[in-house]
Order: sequence, then C-alpha cells, then structure tokens
Amino acid sequence: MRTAPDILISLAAFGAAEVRRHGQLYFTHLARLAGADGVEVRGELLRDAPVELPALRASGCVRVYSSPEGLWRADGRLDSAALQRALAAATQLGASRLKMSIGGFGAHADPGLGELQARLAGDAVELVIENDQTLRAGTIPALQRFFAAADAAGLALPMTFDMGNWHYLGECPQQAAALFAPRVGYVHCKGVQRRPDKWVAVPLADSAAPWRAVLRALPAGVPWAIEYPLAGEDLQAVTQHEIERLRAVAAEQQEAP
Amino acid sequence: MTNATASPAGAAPIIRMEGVNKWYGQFQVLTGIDLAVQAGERIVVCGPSGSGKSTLIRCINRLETVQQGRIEVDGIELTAGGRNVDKVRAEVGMVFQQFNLFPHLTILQNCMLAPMRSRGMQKAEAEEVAMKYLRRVRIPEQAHKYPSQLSGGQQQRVAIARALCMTPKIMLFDEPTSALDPEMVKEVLDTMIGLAEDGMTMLCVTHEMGFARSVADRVIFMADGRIVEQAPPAQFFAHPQHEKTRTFLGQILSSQHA
Repeated sequence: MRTAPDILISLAAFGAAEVRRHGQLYFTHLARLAGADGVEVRGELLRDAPVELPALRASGCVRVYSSPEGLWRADGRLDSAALQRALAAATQLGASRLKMSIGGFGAHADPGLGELQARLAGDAVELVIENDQTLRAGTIPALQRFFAAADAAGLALPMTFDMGNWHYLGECPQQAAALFAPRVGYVHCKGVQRRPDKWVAVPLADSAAPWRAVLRALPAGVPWAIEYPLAGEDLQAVTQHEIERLRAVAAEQQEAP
Repeated sequence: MTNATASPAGAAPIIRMEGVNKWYGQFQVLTGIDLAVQAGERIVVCGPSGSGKSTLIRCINRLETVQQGRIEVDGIELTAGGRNVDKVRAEVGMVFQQFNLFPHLTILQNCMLAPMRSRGMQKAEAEEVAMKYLRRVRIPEQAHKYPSQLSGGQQQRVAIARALCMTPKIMLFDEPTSALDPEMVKEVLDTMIGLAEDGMTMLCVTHEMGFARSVADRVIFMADGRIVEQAPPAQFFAHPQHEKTRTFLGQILSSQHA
C-alpha cells in the first residue's frame, strides 16, 4: 500500500498578476483554508522580500522555496551567488526544500560540483533539482548527464519532477518517470494542452497527457504540488476541489494492487 | 488611409472628432484625427505601443485635452474651453487597465459613490442601481467584500458595473484585460460582449483580436498618432491595406495563436 502524499500548492498556480497584486501571504492563507498541507513560495513573485519572507515564515505553511535562478550560469560556472541567495531565502521562509533548475550546467568542463557539495553540507535546506522548460535544463539527456555527474561526485540530489514541463520539450513524461523515479522527491502536478503554437498548463482534469500513469510510476509518499491554473468565482472552493481531487487520486492509487 | 470618417449614412454620430491634433511638448501624439462613431457602434482600437490609441479615447471624456481640432460627444462640444466636461463625463463611462477601485470601500459602496455624488441619488436608490449592475456582471455575492478580497477579473467586472451605474451612453475601455492573468481574461471579455449585445456604444483599446473579430463593427488601427486604417473586422483581418497593419497583425496574431 502506497503512502498518501502531502498536497501542496505552488503559489504560481494562482496566476502571476494575481499573486503580485495580492501577495503570496494572501494566497498562502487561502491555500491553508482550502485544506492544503503547505505551499511553495515563488521567488519571481516576491514584491518586497524583506517584508514578505518573515510574514510567510510566520504562517508556518511554507514547505518549498522555488528560486527563479539557475544553479549554473550560461557559461557553465556554478552560480554560487544565486545559490547563496536562494538558500538564504529558503532559510528565512523556514522552508525545508529549495527548488532550482540546473541552468547552464555542462557548458564548462569544471562544473564545481565539489563546491556545491561543500555549500550544501552544512545546510538544513534540501536542494531539489527541477526539470524546467529549457533545452539546457529540461530534457531527459540534460538531466541524465547532470545526475550522473552529481552521483559520481558523491552528491545525491533529489529531483522535482514537473510532469507538464516534459511536453514543452517534446519529451515523454512516462519515459522520464521510468528513468528518474528512484530520485524523485517532489512532484509538480500540471496538466497540459497543445495550442496551435505552444503548450499551455491546464488542470489535470483537462489534460491531454497521461498524468495518472505518470503519478503511478513515481514514488509514493513524496509531496505533490498543484502547479496548474487555479481560477474561479470562489477561489477557495476551486482550490479545495482540486486538492480533494488529488487526494482522491492518491487514495485510488493507494488501493490499487 | 482608408475612409477615416466612415459612418452609417443618415444618423448623426454620437462621437465626432475633426482635425484633432495633440502634442506632449514637442512630441505630436495625435495627428489629424477624424473619427465619427454612431450610437450603438462597437469599435476596437488597436496598434503598437505608443501609437496614441489610449490618448485618443482619453480625449473623448477629456481626461486629455487637445490643442487643435474639435470633439463633440452626444451633441456636446467638448473642446469649448472645458465648460462641458461634466456633462460629457456623465454620459461616458470608462474602464481602465488598472481597476482603480477605492480599497477602503466595499464593492457596493464603490458602485454607489458616483451616482450619489454626481447624480444626487438617495442611498437606497443608489444601492438598488448598484446591485442591478453587480448582478449584470455576475458578482452580486461579492457586494459586501473589499476590492482586495477579489481577483483581478472580478475587480475589473466591478469597475464595469461601477461605470454602468452612471447609465452612460458610451463606454470607453482602455486595455481592460492587459493586467489580468490569461485565465481571467475571458470573464471580462464575456461581460463586455454582454454589453455590446445590449447595444451599448463602445470604444475599446485592446489587443484581444478574438474580441475584435467577434464583437466589433469596426476595427481602427493606429500608428504614430494617426488612424492608419479602419474597416469591418472581416475585411480588416483578411485584407489589411497598409504595411504597418500587416506587420502589426502578423506579430499580434502569432503571439495570440489565432
């Protein structure tokens, strides 16, 4: 029997303009009232970090901090300053996890994995590497190369598996799930639909992708975060409905043989 | 330029602009604007950033003054030294990109304010009118909340309801959806479509080309402060006459995957 995952809300789900207008604390309270187990705070949506970070910490709801910066610069050098900023923000938030993408990893012969390992060694915040929507940091081969190098350097990093992002790069999410499942520590739940010129994120119920099969292939018990658009006349009710939908899916999968 | 003063024959226009020129210092933002809008007409104004489209519609209720030319709204001369501004503003509602609701007032109070102050309505009557229009934009249940408790789409619908409470003859929309997340755009456009179906005279600055196609009687394209081209939407989108129009449509339609 599978362990039930905690259901988080990535605060980007409420829409960038909305979150910038109301602030992430507003939506953190809304997510809590809707029954979420926690939230993922988005670095790119902070308006006044020195004020917002302590207030968000006081909510006691922040589980993950998502940094908009890549871990490696375009020239392939480790972006120590970006890492430092992200770790500091995660710590201020009381988040146990920091989500980042690998950015320009691989563009330089010495990626500085030893330096990364040393920096993370004394930190209570766990780094989780996300597949993003860029060719450099979001394809299966790019992530395989990174994790192989990290493993070889003795750096065992868990992965944030964004089930929707694979589609943007023409990758198969089921193949990705099969390859990366053992290291997945966090899941971004996102439905997708193909528009004439691009992919767009949609609620799972409207998704054109095999999201149930993907979730089944991933480890049980790791947190699932809603990262598809949440909008409606009664946003709390909409959010509650989507949380309950995910909990029902998790329950179905727990009962499956 | 194609037919810049076109209007259905036989009816006096509700908005008439003739030879309008406007400068910000040395920069000419509107050049030789001639425009006639019939009552009940739905017009979409589009064009690249800085083309003068927002300035154009802001001149219609004298949020902007002009240095040359004549503007007449519902038979009232607006360029006669500012004497008629209040009369015109009583007939012209405006909705902005930012919703501009008073944060310390409830939704209902926001909608009641202008009718009580400008029309001299009693509180009970103003409340009745406000609730009527909040129902019209499908958010009567939000009446006692404050703007900060509403989404952007809901706040913009309140802004529309607030304008309607003054029972305007003309509604001006200045990029009403551009500050919204994609998921909120439809609810605002649907509200505007409802107004259009009821025969409201509307001028709307927007890049929502789907709205222009389905709702507008006429699409006006502006560039460099001039009306470059105007035509019914079928003609405008299928056979744009000017190179600048074709370039603009190529860019905007590819970004909107229309």
